[in-house]
Amino acid sequence: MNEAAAATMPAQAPDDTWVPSTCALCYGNCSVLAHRVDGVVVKIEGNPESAVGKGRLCGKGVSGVMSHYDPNRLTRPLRRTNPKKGLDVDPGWKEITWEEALDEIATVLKRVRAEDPRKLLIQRTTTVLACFIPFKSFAAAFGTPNLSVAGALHCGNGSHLVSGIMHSSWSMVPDFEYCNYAIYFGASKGHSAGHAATSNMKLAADARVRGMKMVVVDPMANFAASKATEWVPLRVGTDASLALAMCNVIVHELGMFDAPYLQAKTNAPYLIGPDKLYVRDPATSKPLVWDAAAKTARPYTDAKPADMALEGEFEANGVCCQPAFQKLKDHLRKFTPEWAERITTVRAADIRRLATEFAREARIGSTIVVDGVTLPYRPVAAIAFRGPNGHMNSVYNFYAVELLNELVGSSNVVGGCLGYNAACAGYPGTGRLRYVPSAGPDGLMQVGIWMDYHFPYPIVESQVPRKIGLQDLFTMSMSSPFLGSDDQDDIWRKFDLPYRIEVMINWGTNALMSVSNRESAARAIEKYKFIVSIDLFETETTRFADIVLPDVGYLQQLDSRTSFPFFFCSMPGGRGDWSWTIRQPVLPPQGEQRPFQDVLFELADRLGIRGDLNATLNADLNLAPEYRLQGEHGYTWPEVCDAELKSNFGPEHGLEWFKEHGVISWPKKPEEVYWRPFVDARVPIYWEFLTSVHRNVAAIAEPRGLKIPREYYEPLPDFIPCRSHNCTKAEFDLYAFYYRDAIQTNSFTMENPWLDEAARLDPFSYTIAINAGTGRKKGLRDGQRVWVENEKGRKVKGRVKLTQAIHPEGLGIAACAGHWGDGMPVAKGKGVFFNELLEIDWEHCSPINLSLDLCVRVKVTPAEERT
Amino acid sequence: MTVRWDAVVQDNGFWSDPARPARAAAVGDANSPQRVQIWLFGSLASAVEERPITLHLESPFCVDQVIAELGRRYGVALLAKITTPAGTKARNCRVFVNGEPVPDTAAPVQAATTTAQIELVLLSALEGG
Repeated sequence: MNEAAAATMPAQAPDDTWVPSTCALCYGNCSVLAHRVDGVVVKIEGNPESAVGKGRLCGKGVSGVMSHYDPNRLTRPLRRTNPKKGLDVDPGWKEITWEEALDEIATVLKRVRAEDPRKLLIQRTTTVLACFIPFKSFAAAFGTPNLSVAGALHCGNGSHLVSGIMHSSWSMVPDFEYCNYAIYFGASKGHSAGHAATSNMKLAADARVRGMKMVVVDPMANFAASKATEWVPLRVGTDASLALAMCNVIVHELGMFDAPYLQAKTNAPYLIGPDKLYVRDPATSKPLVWDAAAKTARPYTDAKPADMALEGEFEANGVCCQPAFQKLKDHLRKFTPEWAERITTVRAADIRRLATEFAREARIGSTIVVDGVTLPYRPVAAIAFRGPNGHMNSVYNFYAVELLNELVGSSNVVGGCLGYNAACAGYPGTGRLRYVPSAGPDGLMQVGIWMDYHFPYPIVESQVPRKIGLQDLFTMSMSSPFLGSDDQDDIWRKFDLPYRIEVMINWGTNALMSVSNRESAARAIEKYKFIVSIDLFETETTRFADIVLPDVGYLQQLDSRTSFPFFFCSMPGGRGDWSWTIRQPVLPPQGEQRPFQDVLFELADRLGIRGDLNATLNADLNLAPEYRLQGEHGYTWPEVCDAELKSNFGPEHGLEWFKEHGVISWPKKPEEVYWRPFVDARVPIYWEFLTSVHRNVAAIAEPRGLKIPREYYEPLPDFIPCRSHNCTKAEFDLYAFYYRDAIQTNSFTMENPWLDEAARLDPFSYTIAINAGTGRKKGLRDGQRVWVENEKGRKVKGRVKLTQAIHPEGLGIAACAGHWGDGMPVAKGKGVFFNELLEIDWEHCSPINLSLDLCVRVKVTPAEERT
Repeated sequence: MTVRWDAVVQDNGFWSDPARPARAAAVGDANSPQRVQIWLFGSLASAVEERPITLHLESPFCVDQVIAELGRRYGVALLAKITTPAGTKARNCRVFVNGEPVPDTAAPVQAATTTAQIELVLLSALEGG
């Protein structure tokens, strides 16, 4: 038994303990209590003491014990003996000692760091956030900017960007406590997995009981739509057109908008010149507004909001100009409900009705008193998430949906659409953890905190790319397709990228499955000369590794910040408590498993970069001076965790205190939850900055042969078809998409036997959903095996599930299923591997934020039945 | 329905005061040269052999001056890592003076009675999730 085991396993005392910790079956990070009896975890429940989950736990969470005790877990370091790598190639594993493994890894890393540290790629999973800080700090200490999250390309290049710009947050949610009318575009907040999953479930359920009307716009009626007041099926990837048509109705047919909000909290009054740019004050360079009281143009800081004109045409600086709102209003005119009906298939009459309901329920002009504070009251919310994100037009999809909130003033006010949690006044005992949005360039809002230092606004100026993902050129992107794209070498050559990745450290990702078709992924990963995979199981990606290191699981892991940053994904929005939670070992490592943090620290020592790692940890953890890590001292991971906790909560609240209590909570204040009226920063309803972003990107890319289409960079949103919308081959008549199954997380949980059993009982988890009417016209029957094939001939096979709950043109596949490797035998062969249908190259990603097109036109043909 | 919310909702100054202001170092002789030790970490360190770097700067000075001096001494390659194309400090380059983060690089660094310790750390700037 090692030291960590001894710490968690008292030798003599009877062991019957509930240990407070944090789940890791998805990135919701719900607080849990693990019941350990005689060294065995027998049950996992939610922790009612924490705001993160509030005592609730989903099916995945309670099943975590089965992931832990899976006999297929890795327990020994492994070395590849077969030099050949490829799909379905046996690595020829042999067991090696930790010393051998670390020696070889350190030798390779030393060489690479001396040559060019950028040759190292660190890739981590999005599921377990414990890896976020340690790997981020290690990458910075090593000197590589190449840090990626494999499946993140399917996540939030659009949603997080727009949520960041408009809400100072990673995501958005209705203010369930007060919202009366929520319209979801491809989102499932409160009904599925992920962000604040179990907290939101309770809040959403209570809201429905209270009478909140919920309209779900989605090609498929699954988790959210099945509980909604109304399901609005639309053609895949056309969310922007529906939202823009609703905006048109609200502005032009109803004439309802929140003028005081637009004047005070947006750039709606900023004057726009004929060049689509702000008209600026010659002396200060500040954008001008038209001061209706003074009848002159003035810098936006010099006029009272109530006097700022929103409509009309004026002359300033010798040019004819209009307020941004007038520009928006004129722009919206072309998006009639009849136009949108042709694109979305949603009837024009329904679009008018939805827009009218939304605008009327907003109660524009009303206020409410919450905990003694008078606040604006707008009990409507339009939210979007994964659905609209999975398309080339994801920026406009989210921008268009967000305009609904902006027009009626429901952004971050009572009952409205909350970016959660955008503002925190800090822990009262120390004042630390404080963050709040502020005004950046041109008075527009910049985030108070973000996951990294690449803020959504102001947009960073583009450079000739030096990162393999090209995010330093496409500065509105986060995750990149170019780590695995078919045209990556061509792209890198265009920009004279001076290095190539030689070494990858992989932590828990299964990039072979989570990004695109497996052949493209394999081609990319085969190029790496040396791969280290730190993992729980031998995944399809692990089989490409040279060395495999067995990691501990979440019931064996220590992490001092499982709910921070609060704006990210575990803390629910709305009123309630702030809770800081930890994860702690409930069980010892099995075999020779080691915590990955220990491995990184050991490598840092062998590489001689411990001083750099201490410095980057100081910065990433934002440690107070008295708790900063010093010099090159060899701290242990528990010591780092202790320092962070004491730094934030004072010397009496160190790691030992948190191990006993699991969580520290304090109440939110109304000004934190509903910060919008109290923060003097504006959000853009007219994205003037896109004009210069396009100019900068094009100036670098186009001389090198990469055309940057301007229509993606217009200041006002439009509907831009995906490639799938332009397919003209008659037999490819369905739009295939995948959706996140509520009972699974990415590809990881497929191995869990309880979840597998639940998935086998579920009619959709492992099947291909096709509209019943469409299916019958094709002669398909329930349970029939079919091929689903894209235009390039890539195809997957599965069983049909005919259902009324999907758009007639849709084809829905659940989750990231279809494992083929032997290392996860429960998962092997289950479900359908949708990503095999995805192409990955420049032509299939957004030329503004690099979102990958996740909708595919397909044809369906019967497959031979197995005998 | 015609009430302006901004006529009803009062800004109570909730967000006006930072809860924990950065502690300033003790003030020394404002006119004498200030000895400063610069610690570069991560990819910044690879460009410079010595650590720490010792500079003598006229007091008061600001972090922007420190960055400019580093550029003069060690070249544009180092400067390009620290600054944006527009010449401002890159957001992913974090600066600490005597352990305290520096939010405004143009603000004067308080002269101290002892050598000021300035850390520059280049963090990862892009990541999904």
